[in-house]
Amino acid sequence: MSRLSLICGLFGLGFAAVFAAAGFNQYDVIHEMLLLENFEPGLTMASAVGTAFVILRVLERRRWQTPLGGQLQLRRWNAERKHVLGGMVFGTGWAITGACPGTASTMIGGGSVLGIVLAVGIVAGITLRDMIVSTPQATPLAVADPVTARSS
Amino acid sequence: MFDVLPVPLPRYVVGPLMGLLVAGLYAVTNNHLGISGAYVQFVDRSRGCSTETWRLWFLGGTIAGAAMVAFLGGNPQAGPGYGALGEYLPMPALIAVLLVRWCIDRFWRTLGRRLYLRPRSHRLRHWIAREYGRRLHVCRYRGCCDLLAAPADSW
Repeated sequence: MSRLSLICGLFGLGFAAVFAAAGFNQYDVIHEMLLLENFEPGLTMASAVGTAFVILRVLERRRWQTPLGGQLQLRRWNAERKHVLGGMVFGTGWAITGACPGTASTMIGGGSVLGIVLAVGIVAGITLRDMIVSTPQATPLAVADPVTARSS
Repeated sequence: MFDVLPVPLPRYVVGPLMGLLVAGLYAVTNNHLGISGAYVQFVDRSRGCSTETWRLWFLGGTIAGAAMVAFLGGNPQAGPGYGALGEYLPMPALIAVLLVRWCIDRFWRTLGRRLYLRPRSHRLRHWIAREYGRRLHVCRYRGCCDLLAAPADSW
């Protein structure tokens, strides 16, 4: 086990603990937010984005040297049509099931049986894609970051 | 289960904490926090071609973190329940909805991205155009045959 893996595991633990402690792994909380009946989850996400944005901008300007990954390099993408279409597909599913990949793993950790169904669905979708579209040949995007290209 | 953790935590505490964790992971490892990529790595790992093991550790950490909170503060969704949606849908329908939703989502999001990769995109568009043209041709041909073969009184 490398130091990077251990640190990432700890960050995952912390993130999921905060996520679950806020109740974001519960259908009702997400559903109320999407119905605009409860603004608190949305404000929480906005404050999370704001906090991360300010810290990362400051670190980037100071050319922060990360202990495990060299100089901090924030990845940026231009907004394209695919993002809008993908967002619409995701949003539709989010409205129906009130779940995202983070919710699925925190639901499993929280003891929800149906969290396993969500995870199986995610894995099945990725596998189905891989069955239909084989790994692409070397393209700039694929070479730059294959995992990011396939996910997020 | 212990009720030592006040769940849910106040949202003004949770938001900045989440932001700090995202920025913290970036600041320490130069990697961005994301669970979708961890699932991709999980699938790759099952085929023996994993490249980023840290993402699997991250995924394991999320499960452990949620388990810790459920242990310390309780989780109202533990067991087979699924909140209000579980009250509307019977269990088989609920399972089907959850499975299909994620299949479509993951499939589309990853395939949609691939379609924009130039070489494959060209090939795929080419293939779709060719297939469409071929099927249209077959349909027209069959339509003409049906028309000619039909009895005259049905014209």
